[in-house]
Amino acid sequence: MALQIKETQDSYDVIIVGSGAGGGMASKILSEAGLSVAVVEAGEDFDPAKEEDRTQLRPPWESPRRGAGTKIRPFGDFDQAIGGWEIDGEPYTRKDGTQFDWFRSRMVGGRTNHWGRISLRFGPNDFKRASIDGMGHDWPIGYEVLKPYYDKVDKLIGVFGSKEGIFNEPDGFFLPPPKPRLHELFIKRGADKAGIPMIPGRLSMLTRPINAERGVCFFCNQCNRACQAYADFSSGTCLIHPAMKKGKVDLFTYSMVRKVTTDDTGKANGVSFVSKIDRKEYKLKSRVVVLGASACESARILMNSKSKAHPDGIGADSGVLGRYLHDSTGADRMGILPELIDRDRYNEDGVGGMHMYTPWWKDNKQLDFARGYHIEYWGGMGQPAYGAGGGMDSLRKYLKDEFGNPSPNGGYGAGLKKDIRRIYGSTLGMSGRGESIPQHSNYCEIDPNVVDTYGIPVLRFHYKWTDQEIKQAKHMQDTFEEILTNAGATLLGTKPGPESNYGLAGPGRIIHEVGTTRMSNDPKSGVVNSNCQVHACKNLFIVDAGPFVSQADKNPTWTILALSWRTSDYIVEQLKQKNI
Amino acid sequence: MNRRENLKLLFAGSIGAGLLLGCEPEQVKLQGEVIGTPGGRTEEEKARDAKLLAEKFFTEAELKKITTLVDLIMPADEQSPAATAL
Repeated sequence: MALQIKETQDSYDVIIVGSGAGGGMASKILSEAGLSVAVVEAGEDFDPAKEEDRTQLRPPWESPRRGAGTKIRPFGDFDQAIGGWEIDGEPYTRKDGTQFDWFRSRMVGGRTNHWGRISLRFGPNDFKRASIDGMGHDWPIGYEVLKPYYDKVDKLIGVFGSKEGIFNEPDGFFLPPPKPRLHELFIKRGADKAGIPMIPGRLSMLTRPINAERGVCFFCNQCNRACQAYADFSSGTCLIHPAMKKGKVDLFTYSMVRKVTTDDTGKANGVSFVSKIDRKEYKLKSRVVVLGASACESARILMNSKSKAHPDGIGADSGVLGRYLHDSTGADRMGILPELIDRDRYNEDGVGGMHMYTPWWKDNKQLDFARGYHIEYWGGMGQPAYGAGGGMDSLRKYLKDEFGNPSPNGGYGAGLKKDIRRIYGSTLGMSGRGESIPQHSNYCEIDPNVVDTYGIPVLRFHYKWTDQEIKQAKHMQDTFEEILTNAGATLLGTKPGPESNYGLAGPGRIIHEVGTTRMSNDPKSGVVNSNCQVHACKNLFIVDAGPFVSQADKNPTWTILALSWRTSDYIVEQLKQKNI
Repeated sequence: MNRRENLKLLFAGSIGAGLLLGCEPEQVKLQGEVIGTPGGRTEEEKARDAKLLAEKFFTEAELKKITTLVDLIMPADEQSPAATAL
C-alpha cells in the first residue's frame, strides 16, 4: 500500500467520486463507452491477490491480537474493510440527543469490502410501498425498469441462488447454491414446524467459473478478508481494477473530495479535493461529475458545494437534500442446540455467509406494523480466533451427562478445555434485517461548528425510529424464539423487551443507510430525477444509495449496481445527444 | 483461473513459502520484519502495532505469575499443548 499521487492529466470526460459499488459500476460502463474517467477515492488502493495486501487464510496467531477487532477494523483484525463507525480526524455529530452511527470504509471498493455479499433484487412491491400501505412515497420507476439491469448485473458479477417463483423476491440468473450446513438444516427443521419458509441464500460468490479473470470459491468462509482468487464480489477486484486495465481510467487515492465545482450557469465543471498526503487542495476538471461516495458522503459533498449559482449547495433548493435518511432495521437472537454438542469435527466452512435464509413471508394486513424483514442464519464451526471459548461461565450448564446432570468439570484446567471443545459449534442464531419507513424528520445536515482534519464541514445527524420499526423488531423476537425453540434449541440470554426497543439496532448499525438524495420527477420533492440526474445541475449524477426512495428489506448493493449501470447508460446517451 | 490453479496459488502463497525456506512458519515470522499483523496494514496501524509491541506492560514478576496462571487454566492435555507452549 504505497503512498503516492499519480501524475495525471487534469481534465477528463467524467469524474467519479468514490470507488464502491456505484462508482465501480460507473467506471466500468463509462470507460467501456470510450470516455476518459477519473476515479477519486478517499482511501488507499489494494489488491488481495498481492501477498503484502493479503489477510485471507492467515491463522489467528499471525495477529498480535489473535484476530480481535480494532477501531479501524471493528469486524476483526483480518477484516479487509478499513474505516469503521469512528475514523480519526473525520468526525460527525448528532443533534437533539438522537442517535446515528455512520460506517465508512476508506479504500478502493469502499464498503463492498465489508458487505456480506447478500445480493437480493428489490421486488415489484418494493418500488411501490406507498401505494400498498399509504406510508412514505413510491419510487418514480418500477421493477420492470430495473429488471434488465439486474439481469445484466447477475451475469457480469455472478450470484448463486435458486429459482423459487416468489412474486416479490424475483429470481435472477443464478449459479448453483452451496449445500446447507448442519446448523442450517437444524434451523430449517424449526422453520418448517413454524411454517416459515427457508430457501438457499443469494450471495455473490462464484460457485462456478464465469470468466478468465476471476477464480472460483474454495469455501474458506473469509469473504470479509477480500478474496485473492477474486471469487467474491468487491468493487475493487471486479469493477475498478478491470476498468483500469481496459479503459482510460485514472485512480486518485487518498483524495478527499470537498465539493463539486460549478461554472457561472451552475453547471458542474469538476471537483476540488484535499490530498490526504500533502493536505493541499487540488482541482480536477470534467464534462460530467458522478457522485458515488455513499448516501451520506455524497449529500455532504452537495451541501458543501456552495457557489453563486447554488448558494445553499447543489440540490438544496429541492428541500429534501439530506432528508429521508433511513437504515434497515436489525435484531438478533441466539440459542444452543443440545443435539450439536459433542459433534464431529470436519470442515464445513462454506462461503463467507449464509447458505440459507428466509425471505419476508407475511402479509402486513394481518400485522400491526408495515413492511417486512428477511432472516439471516448463522452458526457452525468456523475457525476459532480471539473470543473462542468465551462465555463458558454461562454455557457450561447446558452440558449434561447421560443422567441429565450438569457437566462435573467446573472451574478451570483440563476440564475447561474439554468443555470448550464439546460446546464448540453447538450455538446458532439469526438476525432480522427489515424495512423502515423513510421520514422527512430523519436527516443529515452540515454542522455549522465542526470541520474535519481536512477543513471540510462535517455532517450532523438527526434520527429517530418510529413505532413501525419498534413493532417490527418485536415481531422479529417472537419469530426468532419460535424458530429456535422448534429447532430444539435452548434460548440463550433473555428476550429483549420494550426497554431496549426489542433489541432493535440503533440507526446506522446495519450499514444500509439510503435516501439522502432521493429520486422524484418533481424537483421539489427529489434531489435527482428518475435517471439519478441532479435536477439543479444536469451534468451531475448520483450512483450510490442516496437516490433510493425506500430501502426494501433487502441489502441495497444489487440495486445500487443496477441503478448505476442504468444511470451510466443514460450519461453516455445524453453525451451523444449533446444534452449535457 | 480454475479451481485447481487457485489452490495451487494459495498453497504457493501460504504453506509453500515456509516449505521452500525449509523452516516452520513461526521461524519465518521471527526472521521477517513484520511487526504486528501482516497483510494490508495502513501506515497508522503499522505505527500503532510497533508502538504497542515495543511497550512492556507487565513487570518480569507479573509476567511469570501470569504465565503460571494461564497454564493452570489452559494446561496441556492429550489433544493440545499448554497455553504458553504455543
